[in-house]
Amino acid sequence: MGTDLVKGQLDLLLLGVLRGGPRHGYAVISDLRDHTEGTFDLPEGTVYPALHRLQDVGLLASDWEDVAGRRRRVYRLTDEGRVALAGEQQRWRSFASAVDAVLRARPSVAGGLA
Amino acid sequence: MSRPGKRWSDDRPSVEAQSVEAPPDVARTDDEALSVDAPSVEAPTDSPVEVYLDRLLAAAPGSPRDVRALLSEAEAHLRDATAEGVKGGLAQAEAERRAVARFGTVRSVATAEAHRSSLPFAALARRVGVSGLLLGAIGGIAIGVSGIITAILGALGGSTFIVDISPGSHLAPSDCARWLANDPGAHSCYQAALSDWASEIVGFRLVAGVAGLVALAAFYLVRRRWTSRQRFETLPAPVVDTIAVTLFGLAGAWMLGLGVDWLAVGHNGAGQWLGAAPVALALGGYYGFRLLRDLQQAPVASS
Repeated sequence: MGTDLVKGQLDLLLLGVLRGGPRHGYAVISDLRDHTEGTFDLPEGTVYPALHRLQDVGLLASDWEDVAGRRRRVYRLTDEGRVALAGEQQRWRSFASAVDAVLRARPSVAGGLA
Repeated sequence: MSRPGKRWSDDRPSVEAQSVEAPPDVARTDDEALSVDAPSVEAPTDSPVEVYLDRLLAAAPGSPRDVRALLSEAEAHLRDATAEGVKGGLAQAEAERRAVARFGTVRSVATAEAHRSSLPFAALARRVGVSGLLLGAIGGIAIGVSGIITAILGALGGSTFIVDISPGSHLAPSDCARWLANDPGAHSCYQAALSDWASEIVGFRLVAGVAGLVALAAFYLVRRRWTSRQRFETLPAPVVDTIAVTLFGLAGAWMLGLGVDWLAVGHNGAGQWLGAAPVALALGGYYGFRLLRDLQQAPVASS
C-alpha cells in the first residue's frame, strides 16, 4: 500500500521536493527518501521518467550542468509548476483532512442499525 | 563484483542505432541484465552498472536524444549511489550491485519511460488544433486567391465564364425582382442573375481569404505565446504534409477536371473551377515537395 500511495502522489512529491530549489535527479530522490522517512520505496530509476513527464507538460524545466565532475540534468520548478504545486497541495490537504475526519469518527452501531 | 572469463568487444552499435532498432518490449529483469551470458547486448566490462546501462540502452524507448538523456542520468545516478555505498564501507562490486537493485529493473524503467513518451490527450489536441489552424488558414487564403483569379477571369471572359446559368434557365420571379433591384442597369433578369452570382462567387471567396488571414494571424499569435512557455507543438511535418498534399491535390485535380469538362461541353461557368484549380494544385505540389524532402531527410528516425 505504501508503494501505491507514493506512486499515486509522485508528481506532488517531486514538485514539493523541487520547491526547495533546483536539484539533479539523484538529489531529488535522496531528498524524497529522507523526507518520507523510508516510505518512498519505488524503484529509483522510475522517478526519472516522472521527472521527464513533468517537464513535458511544462511544470519543470531542466539544464545540463557539470556537478562534482559528472554531467547532470538539473531540474527546477517553472512558474506553471509552482501554480500546479499550490493547487495539488490544497487538494491533498482537503483529501487528507477528509480521510482523517472519517477515521476519527466514533462508530455508531445503533445508528447504523436504526 | 568480478566475473571471470569473457572479454567484450568494443564495436557495439552507437546509441542512435540501437535505440532505433530495439523495440520497447525487449526490457529485461535485473537478473537477466546482470547475466554475463545474456545474448543480445555486449558490454565492455562485466561491472553490474555497465551491464545494466547496456541493457537500458537496448530497452529504452523514445528518440535517440531521449535515450541518451536517460542513459546519462541513469549512469550519473548509479555512479553516485555506488560512491555512496563505497563510502559506507561496501566493496565496489557490491555497492554497484545494490545501486542497480535500488534503481529498479530495466523493464520497470523502460516501461515508465514509454508511458511518459505517450502523448497526453491535451498535448495531442493542442498539436491537432495548431496544425489544423495553420492548414485552415492556408486553405482560406488559397480560396481568397482563387477569388481574385476568378474575378480576373470574369473580367476577361465575361460573367458567363464564371457563372453556370444558361440563358434558358428557369429563374424565379421573386429572385429576379431582387436581382434587378440590386442591379438597376441590367437589361434582363438573366443579366441581373449573372451579375449577382458572379459577385457572390468572387465575394464569398474573398471573405474566405480574409478569414484565412485572420486564422494565420491567430496561428502566429498562438505560436508566439506558446513558444515562450515551451508549449508550442505541431503535428510532425510529414503528417501535416501528407494531409495537405491529399486535400489540396485532390481538390485541385477535381476542380481542374470539372473546369475542363465544362469548357469542353460548352457549359457556362467553367472559369469558377479553372480559377481555383491552379491555386489548389500549386499548394498540393508545394506540400508534395515538402513531403518528399521530409522523407528523404529522415527515412528511418521519423516516428
